[in-house]
Amino acid sequence: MTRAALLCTTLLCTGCFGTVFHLEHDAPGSGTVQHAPSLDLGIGQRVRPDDPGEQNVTVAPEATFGGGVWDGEWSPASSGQVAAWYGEHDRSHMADQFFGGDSRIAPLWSVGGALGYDILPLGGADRRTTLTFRVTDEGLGVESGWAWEMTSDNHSGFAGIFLSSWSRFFYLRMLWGPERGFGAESGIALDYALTWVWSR
Amino acid sequence: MSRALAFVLRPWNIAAAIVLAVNDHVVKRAAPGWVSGKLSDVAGLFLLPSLVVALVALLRPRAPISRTMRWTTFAVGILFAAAKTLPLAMGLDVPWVPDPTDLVALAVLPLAWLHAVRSADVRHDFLVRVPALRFASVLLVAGATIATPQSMGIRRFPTWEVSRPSHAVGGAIVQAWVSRSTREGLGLSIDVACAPDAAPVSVDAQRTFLRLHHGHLAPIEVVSTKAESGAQARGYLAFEFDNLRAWNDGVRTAMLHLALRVGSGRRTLVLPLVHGRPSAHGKVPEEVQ
Repeated sequence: MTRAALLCTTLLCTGCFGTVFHLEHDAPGSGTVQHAPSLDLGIGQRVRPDDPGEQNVTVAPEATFGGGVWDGEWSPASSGQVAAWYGEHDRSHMADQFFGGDSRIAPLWSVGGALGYDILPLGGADRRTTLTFRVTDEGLGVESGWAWEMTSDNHSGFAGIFLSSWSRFFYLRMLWGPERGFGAESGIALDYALTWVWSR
Repeated sequence: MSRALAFVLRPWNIAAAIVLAVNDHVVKRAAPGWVSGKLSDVAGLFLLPSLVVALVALLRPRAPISRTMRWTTFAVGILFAAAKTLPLAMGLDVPWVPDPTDLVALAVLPLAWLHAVRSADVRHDFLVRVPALRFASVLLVAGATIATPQSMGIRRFPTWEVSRPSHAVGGAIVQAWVSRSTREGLGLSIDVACAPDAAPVSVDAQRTFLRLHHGHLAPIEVVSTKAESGAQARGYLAFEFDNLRAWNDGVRTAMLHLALRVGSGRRTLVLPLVHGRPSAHGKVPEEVQ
């Protein structure tokens, strides 16, 4: 456990929460070449191409530490998950401007899944292992999945909509499901995202 | 959980979180400068060891606070110094701004350690006991640690470049360079400066061509280039081709045959072109929007 804490410390201190692999496919910028640049262009200078945006595939082990409200009751919550998704950014190498945030790791549009485990379930419920499929567009998403309550050995499905935002290692999630009702949770998410990125 | 929360939710930590949040999200935008740049480092370095120790306390409730704080403070200092200096020394592209002058903020670490150790036994339960206050404080501390969003640098797209752009032709200097390079091809700017006693020089677009792997490509003469004696002229040729496919097929070289009329004679400059990019990130001062 100490080693895990030290690893978290190291990542936290360096701000190093991921590794990005830039793929060379489709790398050139977009734009016309038919128009001559302005005469103000200095000798040797060039006009920056338009940004076609980029797409990425990300695999991110993540642990969350926080709390939230479920059915009007506040409680701490903590979970671990391994998420994987495909997403797109309108601008390359830039944070999508969303909730004042730096959501370059979590793109505005994405589709993916996550295998998770409730370390400290919200609302004191049974610990669950979950397999979730999510589609997210600008933070608003739908999710559906399967949950296994380990103590009672119950299996169940779930579905719902959520609104989520990330900013660095801070996250906020509001969820609603027909069976689960409304909930909100927030806290710190420590992840190390492996991202493969290439041009759109 | 309560021990970890109690360790973070102390008045001086809350104060540091407020300074961090206000400086990052208000002051840096309203009055960017040396002071606002360093203030976040100072407040962040004060707060960070406590946050990390709280995390350790969460994961390992019986960990001795004093010893953990000592090692954490030391590690935070080392990693902060490394993050601010090593990327520059090693020439690495990183998504933060390495600045050795930020090391001045390290002076706050002893204060952070003293504050944590001396107040270890002082409980400020009012922040932990009241759920709403506790939740708000956690949000404040977590939110404050979100630094001002920064881009990961300007993306450097691959471009065609003329290997030897400047040539003396008679009494004129001919400079040719790729001023546009996109998925649709490349645009070549040609600047000709004629000496007063030199013969006029012009570009013969009909005889100019680009030799790519799949054959010869004729340009579209968008702006003709003709420099009289003692004058300077700027022209532009567009070569349209599927540059995206060329890049994906690994085409990295080409040869430009630039035909010139020099007085009544002719001259052809054979200019090698290369297609590439030095790095995925980085400043590109030679590019304009």
